Amino acid sequence: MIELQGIQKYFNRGEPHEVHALRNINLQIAHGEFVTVIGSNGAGKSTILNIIAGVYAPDDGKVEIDGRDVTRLPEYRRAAFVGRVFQNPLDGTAGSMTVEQNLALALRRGERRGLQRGVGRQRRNQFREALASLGLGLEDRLDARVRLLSGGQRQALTLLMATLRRPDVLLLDEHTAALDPGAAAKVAELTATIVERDRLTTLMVTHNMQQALALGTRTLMMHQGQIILDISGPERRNLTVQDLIARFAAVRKDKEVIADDELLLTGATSENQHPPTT
Amino acid sequence: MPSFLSDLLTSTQWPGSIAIGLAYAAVVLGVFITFRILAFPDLTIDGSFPLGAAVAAVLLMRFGWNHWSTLPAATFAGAVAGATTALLAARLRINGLLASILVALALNSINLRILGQGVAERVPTANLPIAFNAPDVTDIAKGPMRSLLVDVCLAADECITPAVADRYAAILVFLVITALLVILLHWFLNTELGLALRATGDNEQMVRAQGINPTAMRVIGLALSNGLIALSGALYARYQGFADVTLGRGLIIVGLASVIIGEVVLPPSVLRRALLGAALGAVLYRVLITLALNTTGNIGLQESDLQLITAVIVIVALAAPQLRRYFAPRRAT
Ligand SMILES: Nc1ncnc2c1ncn2[C@@H]1O[C@H](COP(=O)(O)OP(=O)(O)O)[C@@H](O)[C@H]1O
Ligand SMILES: [Mg+2]
Repeated sequence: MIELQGIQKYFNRGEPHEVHALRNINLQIAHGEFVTVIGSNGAGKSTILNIIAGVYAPDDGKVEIDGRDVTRLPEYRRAAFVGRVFQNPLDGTAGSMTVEQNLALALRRGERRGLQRGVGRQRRNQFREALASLGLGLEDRLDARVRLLSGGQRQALTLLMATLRRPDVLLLDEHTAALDPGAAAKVAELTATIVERDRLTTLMVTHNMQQALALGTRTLMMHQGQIILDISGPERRNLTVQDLIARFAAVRKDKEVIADDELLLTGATSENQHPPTT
Repeated sequence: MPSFLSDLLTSTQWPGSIAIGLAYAAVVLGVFITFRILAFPDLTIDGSFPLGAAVAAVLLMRFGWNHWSTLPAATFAGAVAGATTALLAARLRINGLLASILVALALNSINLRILGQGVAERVPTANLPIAFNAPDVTDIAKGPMRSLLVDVCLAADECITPAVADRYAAILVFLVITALLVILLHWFLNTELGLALRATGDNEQMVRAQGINPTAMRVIGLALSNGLIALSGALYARYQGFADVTLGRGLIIVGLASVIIGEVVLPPSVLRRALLGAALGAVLYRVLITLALNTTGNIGLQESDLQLITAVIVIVALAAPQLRRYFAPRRAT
């Protein structure tokens, strides 16, 4: 269970180009819920994930994971509860190290690391088995350097690393966006399989509305630092992409009224520019 | 026996430069850890090498320590210096390069203090050099080496003097020490902690996402690196019977040049080769320098041009990828 209470996040606070990236976010995600997140560029999707992962501390509000208040816990300590896959396939693995060495690092996520051997025979077997379940032939490339792998292979490996030790929450930030269509489909399929198999509490950002509705049990839509739509259950089951776009347009119109007032005040004209907050 | 071979065997110069190269092997391993594994440009070496030399010299001369036990003491002192640099960089958010220069600067004063303890009456010169004639770790092999080489040579009618035999003794001892260091490092860098350290220099974002504290890794890595460098300082000073605060000046370039030479001779496909390459590079660098000085005497270079030669070697090595691209045959598109 994840709980965000009254989260506020600013970037460059007090400077001319201040951004109010998250505006009073309140969100509860139950155990085993698979939430997909959509929204325009700069809506704050990545920031919400980064607040949960501990990359940034919020300017206000509280983050709880399974009842623990982790708001002030540094990123590397929060990693004990959080598995992550990033948009850039290069970000989630150490390219100069081998597949098995990367997996050995992931196997101890959140635990003390000592002078035990990183990769022994037993672990190698464990890794081979886990890799075989990906169906990419990586089980035969345990000692290949990760930089030699394709983007899709690297992303699948990152997904495996994020879930090798069961995380309390899995955070996926547009993790298929940088892949070619074939690889993206494969990684999305693996994601669905693993999340279902391990009943992982998951937050997945995607730019693909089709995917947002096809995967998961609940969909959030974000706009200008706020969650403007939160659909689950039967309501979501019958929703089409067209419905989603229509609802987005409707909500956006409402919001725009507020935003327009602020735009008038600052004389800014571009829709992409973020209005300063008071 | 061909004359060049017997010259090689009986001259003091070649075995001398190989022995010095091996004494520097730990420096090169240390530089390999910071520059290649951690990608942290650490110049603490300027102070940590003479620190090791000073600590070993003073413990030996003034406090009468056993000559072996001064080595871990010197290593520890260097490790503290390296950890200080990493902590300054992380906690005070000082640029890493700058933090290391600051620590090296401070160490200069500390080293002068330590060296000041070394002799009862000293000449108050700026560097406080101390020369000492004391037990050396290479002594252990001198006896056997003398009897072996001198006897064999007398039989073969070549002449290896005891002084030359002593250099072979040093080569043997330093070789054993270097081999032990390479084995230890290889073991450590394949432990869970060692893998975390290696990943830190590769992808810090991934490291944090896997629950590893990158600051802790840099503290451990710089401590390890400067510990090795100080150990080397101790070995070097004791072998040369000399220590002063300038021993570390420009040493980073020697270390880098050696790492690069090692990579050229032994392309590092796996860690084992990279470590062996670094150690080999240390020796080859010395041999190259000796060779350069020998042959370039004819074209008017002298010993004091050593640093210029080193700088040129490093520049050429660093530029090699660009040069190769420049001269590479253009592929038809
Ligand atoms: N590290 C940062 N520094 C400054 N501004 C940032 C930073 N990260 C995000 N932002 C800004 O915050 C807003 C939300 O960004 P983000 O969460 O990345 O959006 P997205 O929904 O596209 O993932 C954007 O306006 C972005 O420019
Ligand atoms: Mg984003």
